[in-house]
Amino acid sequence: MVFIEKIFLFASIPVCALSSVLLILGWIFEKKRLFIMGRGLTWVFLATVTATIAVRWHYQGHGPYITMYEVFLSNVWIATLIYLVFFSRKKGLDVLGVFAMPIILLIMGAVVMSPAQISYLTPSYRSVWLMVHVLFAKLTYGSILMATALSISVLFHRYGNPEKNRYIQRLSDPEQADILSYKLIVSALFFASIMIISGSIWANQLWGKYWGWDPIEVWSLVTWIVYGLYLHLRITYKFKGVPAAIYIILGFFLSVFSFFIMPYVLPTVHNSFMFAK
Amino acid sequence: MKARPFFYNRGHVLTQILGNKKITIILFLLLLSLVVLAGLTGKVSANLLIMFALPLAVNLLCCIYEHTKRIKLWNVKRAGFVLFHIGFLIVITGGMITYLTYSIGYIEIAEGNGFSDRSENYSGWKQRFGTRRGTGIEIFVKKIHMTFWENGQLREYYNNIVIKDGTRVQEATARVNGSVGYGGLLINLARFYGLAPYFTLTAPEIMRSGYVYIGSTTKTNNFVIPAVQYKAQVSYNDLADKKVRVQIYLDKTRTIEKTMRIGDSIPLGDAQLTLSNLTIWNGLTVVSDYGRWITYSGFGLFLMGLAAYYWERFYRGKE
Repeated sequence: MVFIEKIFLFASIPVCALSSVLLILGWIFEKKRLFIMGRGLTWVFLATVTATIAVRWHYQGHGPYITMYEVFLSNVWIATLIYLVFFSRKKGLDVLGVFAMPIILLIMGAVVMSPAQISYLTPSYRSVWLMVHVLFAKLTYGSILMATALSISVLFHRYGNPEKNRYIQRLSDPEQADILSYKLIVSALFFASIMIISGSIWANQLWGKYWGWDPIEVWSLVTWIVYGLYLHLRITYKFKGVPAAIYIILGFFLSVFSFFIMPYVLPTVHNSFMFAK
Repeated sequence: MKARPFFYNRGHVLTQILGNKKITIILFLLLLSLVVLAGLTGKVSANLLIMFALPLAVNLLCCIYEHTKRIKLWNVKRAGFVLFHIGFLIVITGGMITYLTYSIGYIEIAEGNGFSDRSENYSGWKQRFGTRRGTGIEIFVKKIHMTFWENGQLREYYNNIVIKDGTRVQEATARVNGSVGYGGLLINLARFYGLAPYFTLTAPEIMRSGYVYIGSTTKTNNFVIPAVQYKAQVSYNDLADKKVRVQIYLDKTRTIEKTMRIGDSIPLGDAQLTLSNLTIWNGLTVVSDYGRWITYSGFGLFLMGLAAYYWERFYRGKE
């Protein structure tokens, strides 16, 4: 079964790479056929990632939420699903794949580099609150990723000279992209709130305290405050357009730093869960 | 027109200033700096956070007041706005109550033994203001259940416990993800465990016995044998082995080493050390926290309010 999992995993990488290339070429050279092929390959990519997760789930007997390998893989799955379901068929928003798929390809690189040893379901993982926590963490990062892709398109419109470069005109209208990224950040804050509260309920069941100022807890709070601040800035100062787009992109890097870098750098109880020591 | 008291307008201006959204943004930036600092240094100053929480609470209260007084203009969006700010205020309140009232006692206890919930009985006892001395209820660990996966990780782990409170007796199962609640207390498994050999020392005119708790991570423990005063070390390889390795240092050159099972003895001159029993110990924590449910309910209100506010804003409003 591990062999089958590896076949699906390694098949998904060239598919993802090819999909990214076709989407970019189709977009820049305005070749609709190439773009549609790229989008079609994204569905194939989703199918191979789904198969990888399904095979692993089958032989391990639990979902992909224990090791870093599993966390990355399921993040890729949810981000691709969000793109395909909500954006790929909408005019102007389908181009999001041009930005989202290369980022997803990078995360696939992280998947391959992470240890893929079998993870056992220890009693601490058998909690419905952990599932809620992980599900909403994925929805949070999926929303943030899409908001970031939209913000990049806003910057392309502003600095990419749309008059001269017609491919930029294919991007979603900057105003529409700005509003949509705002809605996605609201969703991200909502999901992040559920992620934090479900995580704290789980922590209370495990350790008898719902907040322990663990580095990962602190950095997830930082991410939450950053997006809370964005919403206040938006309401108070009509914070939108290019400054808001830059803010969202920086926020994305901060959330990646909080979630994926900090567990490697700082001693945290989340280490034992993420790396299944 | 009915005349309003002198302080009305002043109060009105004051709440407008204190509840200003620009102040909220400044406070947000301060909070962000504070939490980033905590994240980078790994240290959090509780006093600094409380000092910060107070102006934030004032700002929130004034902001809520400014919105609630326009009662005629109420709609779902406004209700949502007020609700999620009240929710956030309740979260802060719950956090403060937890900070002020939280107490946790940690105890390592072998299967078949009990303890009383009193601060002096815990090997680890954390409490900020020393107001909780313990309830005095008796907690008895009847059975420790453990099974393991092939790689040594825990597969199943729970304790059957008996709680005695005066004449009332209650049996319960404490699980890793299922604390036992009793009279406002939470009894948790602390997930530290190991073997607890029970030794008996028989010497002329003396007989002493007691547990040696072998550490869960090092799987060794150093101890001194009473009466004869020899230093000794006890260790194990696997919880399921039902045996321990004992080393007794008689002097600088002479050491006795023996793998012992229940009933085995080591002669020590006139004395004799016997392994009378071999059980498992595990760590339990007893927690008292009055702010927990307040914080959870605050979060619930916050989520409801946020959902209502943005639902109206996006799907019925202009954005």
